[in-house]
Order: sequence, then C-alpha cells, then structure tokens
Amino acid sequence: MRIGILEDYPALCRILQLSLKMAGHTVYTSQTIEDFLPLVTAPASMDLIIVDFLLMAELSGAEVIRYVRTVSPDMPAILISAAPLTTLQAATIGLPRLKILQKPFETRTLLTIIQTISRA
Amino acid sequence: MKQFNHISALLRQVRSLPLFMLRLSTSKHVLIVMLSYGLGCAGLWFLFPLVHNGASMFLPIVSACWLFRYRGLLISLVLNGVIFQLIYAFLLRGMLPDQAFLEGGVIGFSTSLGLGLVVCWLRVAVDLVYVARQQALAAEQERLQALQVGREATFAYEHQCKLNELKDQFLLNVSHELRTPLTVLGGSLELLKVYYDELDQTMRDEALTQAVENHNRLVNLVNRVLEAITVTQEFSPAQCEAVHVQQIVQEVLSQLDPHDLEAYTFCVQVSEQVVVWADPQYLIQVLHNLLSNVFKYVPKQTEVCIATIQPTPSSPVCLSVQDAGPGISPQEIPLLFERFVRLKRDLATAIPGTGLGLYICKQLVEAMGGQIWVESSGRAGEGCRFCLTLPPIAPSTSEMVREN
Repeated sequence: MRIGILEDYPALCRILQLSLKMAGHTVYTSQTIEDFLPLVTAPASMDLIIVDFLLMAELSGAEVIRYVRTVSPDMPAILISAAPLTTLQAATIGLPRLKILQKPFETRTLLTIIQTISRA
Repeated sequence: MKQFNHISALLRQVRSLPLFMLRLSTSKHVLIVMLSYGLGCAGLWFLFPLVHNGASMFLPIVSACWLFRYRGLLISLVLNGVIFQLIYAFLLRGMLPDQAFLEGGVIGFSTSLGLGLVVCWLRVAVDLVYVARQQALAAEQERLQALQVGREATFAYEHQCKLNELKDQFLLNVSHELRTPLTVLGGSLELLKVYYDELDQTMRDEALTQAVENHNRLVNLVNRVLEAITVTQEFSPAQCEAVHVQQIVQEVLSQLDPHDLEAYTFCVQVSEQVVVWADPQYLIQVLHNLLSNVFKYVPKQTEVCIATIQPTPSSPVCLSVQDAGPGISPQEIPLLFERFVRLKRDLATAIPGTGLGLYICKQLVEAMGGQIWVESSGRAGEGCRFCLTLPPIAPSTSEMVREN
C-alpha cells in the first residue's frame, strides 16, 4: 500500500516510516501540512493517509483529512493523537472511513488496521 | 445682587448653627447655656422698663431645652424663677409682691414652660431623624459589606476555577507530552524486535538512538512532574545573608550551557557594590529560571540585558532581566506567576514546559521578602522585562561585608 504520513514529531515520523516500510508498504512522510497536501492530493497518489491530530499549525489533523476528502472522497484515513478520545471523536463527527488510534499505540495494532483497510 | 448673595450665604450658615451646636461636647453645651444666661440676665437688668415681662430670659430656656432636652427645661425653669425673684427683689427694692407681680410670674412661667416644651419636642424630633438616619446608614453599610463579601466569594471561586482549569491543562499537557515519546519508544523497540534480522546496522542504530532519546525525554518529563508535585508543598524558609549580586550573576552565567550563552548577546550592568539581603541558592534558582525561559522562547542572536537599579543605598535593589523576544500579551500577565500557567502561543508549540518556572520564582523571591513582576507591551521584538526587588542590606551588616 502507498501510505502518506503527516506527523510533526520527527522521531515518530521516522519510526513509523521504518516500521511500515519493513511491513512491505510504500511510505511517504511529511512534517508540515504544506509538504503533505501536494503529496496526497495528486490523482491516485495514495491508498491511505495517517495524520496526527494535534499539529503545530492552525489546522487540526481532522481538518486536514476533510480537506483531502474534498479532492479524493474515498481516501481511507487513520487519525493518530495524544489528545483525549472524546476530543478526537468530537472533532471527527461525520467523517467516514476513518480510524482513530490513540497514542501510545503498538505498531502491530497499526498494521492490523492497515490490513483491514486494504482488504476492504 | 452681590450683597444679597452674601446675605443668603450668611443666613445659610446661621441656619445650620443649632445643628452644629448639637455636635459639640457636653462641657461646651454647659458653656453655651451659661452664656445665654448671662445675655438673658443682662437684657433683663438693662432693659428692665422695656421688657419687664422678662422676654430676654426666653433665650436661656431655648438654649437649655435645645441642648439638654427635658432636663434642661426643668433646670432652666427653676433657675429662671430664682433669677426673676432676685432681680425683681433688687429692682423693686422693699416692695412686697403685689397681685400684678404674681400674675406676671404665673404668665411668665407658663409661657416659658410652653416654649420649653415646644423646643424639647423639636429636639426629640431632630434626634429621631438622626437615629433613623444612623439606622439607614448602618443598614446600607451592612448591605454594602454583604455585597463586598459576596463579590469576594465570587472572585475567590472564579480564581479557584481558573486554577483548576490550569491544573487540568497541565495534566493534559503532561499526558500529551507522555504519549508521543512513549509511542516512539514502543515503536522503536517493536521494530527492533520484529525486524531485527532484516534491518541493516544503520537502521538498528537509528531505532536504538530514537528509543534512548525518547526514553530520556520521558525521564525528563517525569522529573518535571515530580518537581510540580513538590512545589505545591511549602518552600523551606530563605537562609538570607549579604549577597553580592554581581557574583551571583557571574555564577549563574558560568553554569549555563555555553551554546546558549553564545547564541545571545549578554549585557550585564551590575555594579560590584550592589549587595542584597537574600538566600544565594534561591537567587541563583530565580535567575536560572528566568534565563532558561529566555533560551526557550526568545529568538537567538538577540540581546539579553541583566541590570540592577538602586536609587539610594537604603532603597530596595531592583534586578531585571530584559530580552528582545516575542513579549507577553497584557491579558496573560496577571496569571503569569500562577502555577501551571503557560502562554497560549507556547501551548501550540513543541517547547516542553510545565508552567512552574515563574511560579517558583515568585515563591522564592517572596520568601526573601522581595517582589517580582513583568513589564511587556506584548509586541513581538519589544520583548519583556522581568524585575525583582530585594531588600537592601542593613547598614551595620554592610560595614562587615566591606571589611570582608
């Protein structure tokens, strides 16, 4: 699968990249929205996006996903965050094909979710 | 017209004379009554043929009744009777009281009594009005006090709510700051465990480095949380002594990371003679906290100025740390020295912090008998100036320091 990752914490970005790569996926990572959007909004560029909810920007991860969906309405997404689950649920009301994964999570869990999405 | 105004002003003053007299002391009241007796008797004596009915003696009755109420009436009636007897006896030497004299006496007595009673009633009415006004004032005072108490309670409640909010925010920050490095730590270890053989040496090293770095980050955070818990307890009392500010500043600067020091232009304007009464360890920590904030939030290559001001040798010493950073918005200044407070703009960044540094500074400075505050316009580039005052050293001790 081609997976786009938006995460502003460089260490996590790198570890996710390595782990997913080792699991056989093609991974594109960005630490800023400006880098991320052109990557994922190109036609048929990605199969899945993984976005951090709290970003050092005016937009939240949920808003980034909404924006990507305006271009690719079927893009599956995983929202990862350290914020409380209730905050995440409130921010993602009405967003289909979205999984929420709260930090800290095991890479295994992330891979299982990715697998489920790829089968769907 | 001008004269008329003068007269009306004068009348206004005279009008308030009776009420003014009531405010005087009892001895002055007695004096006034005695004076009015003097005037009354003089009138009776010198104007005898004209006022042989004794009208001038109404003056002491009015004044006694006004000032002493019914007691005054009783005493003045008796006194008037005696005075009339004496004066008439002297003026009408040798003559026995005739019927006209007796009738005059009865009429004089009853009119005096009537006049006295009217004045007494007036006085009672004035007293009642006064009491009513006092009661109304007391009630108003009570109402205002209740209002004040209510307002203070509301303020205390709001303050508590605000502090609770800050505490919640702190826990949220900590939780957020814990979760991300924990994910990296777990992820790195998992990566090493699952794909150890497939990873090349560089990747293994990278995963291990990430694990160690994030472990350190977590340890730091846990330490800061522990610090947060301990600062909520009481600070130990300051061990104050005569301290040379310049030495303390040099010591703090020498303890700092050389990279941080090189990144900023430091100007130190602290005279060698400046001595304060402070706990050296506390003062070092305060300066350390202020400077670590500078390194965290102020752009590099800017000027940081540490200065002292002491207008006279006996006035408190004002020590300031000024930067040219982003400043602090005036709305955020009032809560800045409270526990767990972080600026809104810093919450959105990755700069770690618990919002305790300035709170600790405030506690330490106050333990040394000083004050700390911040001045900032809130405009980026104009920075802010943290000032703290410390008590000057006592003159006798300053001699000792000089000798040392």
